[in-house]
Amino acid sequence: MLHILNKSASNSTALQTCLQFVQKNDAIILIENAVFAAHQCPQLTWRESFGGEVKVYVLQEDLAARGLTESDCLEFIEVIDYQGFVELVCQHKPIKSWF
Amino acid sequence: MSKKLVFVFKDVLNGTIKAQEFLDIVMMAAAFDLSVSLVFIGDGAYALLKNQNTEQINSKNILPIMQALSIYDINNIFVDETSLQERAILAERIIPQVTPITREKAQFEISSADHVFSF
Repeated sequence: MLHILNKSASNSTALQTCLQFVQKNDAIILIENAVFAAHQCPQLTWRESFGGEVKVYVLQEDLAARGLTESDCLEFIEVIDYQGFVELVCQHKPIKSWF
Repeated sequence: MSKKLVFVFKDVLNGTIKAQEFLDIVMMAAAFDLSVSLVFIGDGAYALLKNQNTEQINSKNILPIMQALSIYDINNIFVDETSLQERAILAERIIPQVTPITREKAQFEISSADHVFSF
């Protein structure tokens, strides 16, 4: 299952709730303002909540639009572009949007 | 004496109409010779990151306007340095028009206003 998040943690509880429902072998992609959750922010230690068995991706175009780069992202998060996003969508079923 | 207006930004503004709205009000207030301060706290600090490339997502970039606010005599742009530290944002990553201030100074800046606008 693919989880698509598009709201920042400060604007929405979507990330928190999503993490409570995510299962092993799921994937999460952070797009739009959700990309801020990928930022190396000492306050936010959300990896523990899923034990590292979930792949987390972040959209490069949305990072760039907000002045962030790949080196700003937490090390377990993979940066992908629009094409990679499309591939993720093709690989997963079902897809759930959280907002 | 002119009234002091303080605009407080605590949330991420990207992709919302709020950014454009606040700039309109800020510039209107400045045009009426009101004293204007901008204070960025919490996740609002992210709005100040340099090198925002919005071309790939076909979105408007408000950073150039932020950097030109001194033309409107708006020079009091502050960011809470504790909020920067909490997000591991180094001062060199934000636009130079912004002055990092302590949380106490940020609290004073807000509490000394005649009117506070929250975004």
